[in-house]
Parts: sequence; C-alpha cells; structure tokens
Amino acid sequence: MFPVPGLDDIRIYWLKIRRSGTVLHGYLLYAASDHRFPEYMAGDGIGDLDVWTGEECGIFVFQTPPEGWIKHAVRTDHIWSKLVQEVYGKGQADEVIKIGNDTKFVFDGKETTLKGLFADCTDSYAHRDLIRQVLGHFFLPPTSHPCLILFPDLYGKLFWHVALDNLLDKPEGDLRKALKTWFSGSAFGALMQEARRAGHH
Amino acid sequence: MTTETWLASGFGIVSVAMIGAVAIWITARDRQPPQAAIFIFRVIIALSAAGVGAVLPGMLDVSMAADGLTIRAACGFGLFVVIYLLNPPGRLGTDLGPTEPRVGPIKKGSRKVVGGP
Repeated sequence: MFPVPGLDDIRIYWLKIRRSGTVLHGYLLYAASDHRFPEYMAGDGIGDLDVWTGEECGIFVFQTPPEGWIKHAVRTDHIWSKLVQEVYGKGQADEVIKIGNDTKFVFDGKETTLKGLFADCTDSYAHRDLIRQVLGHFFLPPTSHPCLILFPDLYGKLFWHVALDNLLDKPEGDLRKALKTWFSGSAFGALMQEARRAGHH
Repeated sequence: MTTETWLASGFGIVSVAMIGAVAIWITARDRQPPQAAIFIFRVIIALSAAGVGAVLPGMLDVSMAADGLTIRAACGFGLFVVIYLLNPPGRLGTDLGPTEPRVGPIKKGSRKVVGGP
C-alpha cells in the first residue's frame, strides 16, 4: 500500500515503484461519504491491505497513514518509507516518523507537518476532487466509487475496474472480510497473472 | 413407452442437465443472473419437470386457484403448474437468508488516451 497525499506524489514515486518489482498497481478510491471505507482505512485497513495485496502489488490510497503503520513501515524497510525518505529527505522524514504526524518539518521551503501534507485527504471536498480526477483519467463516470482501479502500467491503456458499491455502509468487520476474501481469491490471482504477462511484453 | 413420452422425458433430462450446468457456471463466476434470465429458468425448469413427470409412474392431480384462475391439471402438466407456481429460481435470496456483502465484478477497460494521473 502507498498512502499518498495527491497525484503529484504518484508521478514522483512511479518509476521507483516499478523498479521495486511490483507488477500490478492501482488505486483504492473512496470518498469521505463512502462509509465505512474511510473509517476502516484510517484504522486497520492500510495494514490489512498491505499484507493481503502482497509484494508484487502496490495500491495507492489517498489517506493519511496511521502512525503505527508508519513506524512499522520504517522498521520493516517498506518501500513506502524509502520513497518518503527520498522525496522529503532522509533526516526530516525520520524525524517525522519517529515523533508522529504533528511534527513540523520544512518541505519546499515551507514549514509543514505530515498531517498538513495529507490535508487534501482529510478535506472531504478536496478528496472528492482527487477521486474525480483519477476516475477521469480512466474515462470512468464520477459515480464509479468506491472502487479499485488496477493496472500493470500507470501510463498504459489496460486497466481493471472493480466496483465496491456492495460494501457501502457495511460494518467494518464485513468490509474487512469481503476484501480479505477477494484478495485471497481466484479473481485477484488471475489479475496478478495477467499483470505479470503484461509486464513481460 | 411411446415416442412422445421418450421425447418428453429426453427434453426434460437434457434441460435439467443444461440448467444445472448454467447454474454451476453462474455460481462459480459469482454472477447474479438478470430478472429476465430468472424467468426463463423458471419456465424451462417447469417444462423439464413436466417432461420428466411424463415417464414417472403414478398419478398427480392438481387443482388450484391462482391469480383469479382455477387450474386443474394432471401428470406432466400438473408438475409444470406446480413447479412454475413454486418458482424455484425466485426463491434464491429469500429462502437462503441474507447474503454476505461481496466485492463487485471486474470490468476490463482500455484507455483511449494513454496518460498517467
């Protein structure tokens, strides 16, 4: 999983992510009103999906990562922590990660915090705009969320849209179970196979 | 058995086999058949039951009122009426209790214009 504050970060991260050996990539898109996706992802969701998607699949999510997950990512040398360290500078990123989301650091000449960087993810209107922009890039209607959009190449033509409407307003336990079942199932396995094949061509 | 009886039972057995195969395929693909398909299944299942009923020994005499109609039927046609009105495909989702929420189907897409976010 790659929690990102906006689309620019995805462009910056992309080449480095490709080099890390991932073959299938994607977005998990949900608006603040797509309950209980934001609640689940702000809690255990990022950690769960990070494990379930495996090392060959990297999914972007517009979500402030929980502090516990950030610390775990640094401890385990997760590719996300490497990317953050490269983009924001190793010393500052370490400081932020050690102390937490409210630590101030200088980025692009401005003093900010990790929460500040992810401001668009916490502002429900800005978050909706991000989602609309991503859906627009795939020529999908703005109503196509919550969903997963998966693709082998960010700049390629091929993608897969997985509707998650059935999981709206379900208890977090049911949402977790449904996602767990899907990521361990044959449908996701087949997508991984196809993405591997596409990666070889 | 007469030729008609053989034909009726043959139709019934083949239809049951086909419906069974379609049902297994739909279940395996985790798809929800549309309402029109459910209606077609209902009619074919009822006709299949009538076909199979033509070779089953014994008598079935059905007498019932439904939708303002009084129906009297026997044997194969009786089975057709019973199965059609029982509506086995329509009972899915009502008799089986609430289903667990699931992730939706995968739709493959292709961007007309290649470009990143």
